[in-house]
Amino acid sequence: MTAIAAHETVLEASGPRPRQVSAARIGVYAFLITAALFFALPLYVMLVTSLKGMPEVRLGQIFAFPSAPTFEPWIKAWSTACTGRTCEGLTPGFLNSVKITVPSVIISIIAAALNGYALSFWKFRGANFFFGLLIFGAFVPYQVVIFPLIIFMREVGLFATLPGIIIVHTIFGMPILTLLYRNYFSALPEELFKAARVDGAGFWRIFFYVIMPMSVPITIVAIILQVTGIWNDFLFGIVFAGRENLPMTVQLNNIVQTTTGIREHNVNMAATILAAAVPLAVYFISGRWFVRGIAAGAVKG
Amino acid sequence: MASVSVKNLEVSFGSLKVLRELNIDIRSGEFVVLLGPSGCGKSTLLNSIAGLLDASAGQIWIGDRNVTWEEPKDRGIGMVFQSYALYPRMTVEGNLSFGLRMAGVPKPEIARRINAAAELLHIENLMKRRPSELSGGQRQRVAIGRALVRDVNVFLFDEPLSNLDAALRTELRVELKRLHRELGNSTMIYVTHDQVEALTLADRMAVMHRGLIQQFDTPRTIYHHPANTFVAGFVGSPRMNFLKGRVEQRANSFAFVSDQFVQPLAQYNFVNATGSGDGAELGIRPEHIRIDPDQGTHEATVELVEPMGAETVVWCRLKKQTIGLRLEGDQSFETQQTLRLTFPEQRLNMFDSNTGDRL
Repeated sequence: MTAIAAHETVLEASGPRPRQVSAARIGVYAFLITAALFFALPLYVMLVTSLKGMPEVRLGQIFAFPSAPTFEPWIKAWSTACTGRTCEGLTPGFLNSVKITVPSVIISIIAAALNGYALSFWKFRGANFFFGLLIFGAFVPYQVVIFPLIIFMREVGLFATLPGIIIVHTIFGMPILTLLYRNYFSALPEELFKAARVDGAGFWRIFFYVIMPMSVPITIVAIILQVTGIWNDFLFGIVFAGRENLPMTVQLNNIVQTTTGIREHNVNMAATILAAAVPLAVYFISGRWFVRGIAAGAVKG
Repeated sequence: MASVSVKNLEVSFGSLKVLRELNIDIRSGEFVVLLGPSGCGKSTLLNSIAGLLDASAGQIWIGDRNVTWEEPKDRGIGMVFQSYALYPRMTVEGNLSFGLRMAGVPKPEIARRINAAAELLHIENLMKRRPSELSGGQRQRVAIGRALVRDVNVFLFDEPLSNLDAALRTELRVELKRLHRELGNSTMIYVTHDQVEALTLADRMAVMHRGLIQQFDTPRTIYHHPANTFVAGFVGSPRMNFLKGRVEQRANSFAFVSDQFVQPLAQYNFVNATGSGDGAELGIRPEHIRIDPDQGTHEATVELVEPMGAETVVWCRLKKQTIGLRLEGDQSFETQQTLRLTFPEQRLNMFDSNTGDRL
């Protein structure tokens, strides 16, 4: 061994060594950084403006850092800003959004998981047709169904109530969530389901003891989708929630659009950031899961 | 004590009939293997016996009960799956006890049965682990344990060893056979496409093809007296050699006549008279062909030699047909070498060319 090595001197790879940094690499990074700055800029402007006092805002130097940072606009946006006649800030809207989002997310996810479970494991006659119909629902423009839905809700006495808006969110979450769960379940081995049946578990016990414990990843994805979707909703909120239950997005709009008096840009900015805080936090905390969920829903048909 | 009877069973998926008019009677305590190529309906049959597939016609009896429309849990069966199908979020203990908990068995009884099964399968020290922390062999042991704790008389195995590597498969195969003996009077129905598993494990085996049972008999009979060309060709590796020709009556005995040679059949036991007489196939297993330099009647040329250690497979050209010979591993051959062969008469299998049935 040693003799051979000594004889043959050093073995080297032929050709030029692949370079770590190439022109293409630099170009890609330059593009990515520019794009990131482009999208981050509005957020930066919002942040600095929300920390300025009104005199400084009026100067119009939107990129300038606040000379004397103040949290006054944030406090005002949260608790005293006026929407129409009431001046309670975003607080009631925040609470309403919580009251709408939490039950809607829970109910829609349980219903969709059951749908997906029944569609993939308890195949009944016409299951695929039913599933197709459900998916078709995802492509129906909301504008088309809003008016009939208003009439329906009025007839059953749920129009402009908290249960009403929760039902609406549950219905509209159903197609995409069912798709998500069905695709996830159809990738689970069917033998597991058979084994549970031989073991004597029925429809509900298989669902709760066997299937749901395996569905943690997809449930996290579903929670993310629903929390951000329902929290950001404006249209259903303004139409179906009723005056008492208007969600945060609607109140934000009311604060920003108030036409009397001066426009308090700093307060508007603070209010906007507050309203966006929940979905932003969800994205930041769970970005990894979110991407995985999108992929899971997209790849398998 | 439970026999299993399938009577005129028909199973269809949509318009496709996978099984039709299927009958099989399995005696209590018997180890029966269902063998066949993929898509032959063997797993369908097993799933129907388990109650996981609905029969569109016919009946299934376990013991003296008609269970055709009963739920799987009420049939008194335990089942082991190819993919193990262990509940991934439960420990081994949880997996074993799940069925008993569902049935509302009291806790001390659950503990007693689990311990008994764990001891039998040597998995006592794995009880707190999750399935993902087990090796393939351990997983399959747990899966067998899950069937055992149900305290049933009929066990169904759906290709339980197919996911294991070769060495482990051999090991577990022996263990399964031992288990069957130790349990005493348990009926076992075992689906596989591996003929070695079938031949080694079965008391009786059913060879299936296209939704039909081609032959249901002991491994010995199936190997040495296959009922038709499908069974003859499917069981045995390398497969049986088939030579085309016809059966003719010569003097007071029969002979197989082909374009190339004449093979007397004076000592052959015909089961079906002589058939139609127009076409016949002669089948002989590779290990039954003898090399006889002096009295060999068939001349063949060596084309390819496959040494396999214990044995050597030699592929020869006999006139226009290729035949395989299985010989002792210590002999060596060269290509183009000429061999003189004899076909021992009592080892021959004659089939009708049209129907494929044994003559």
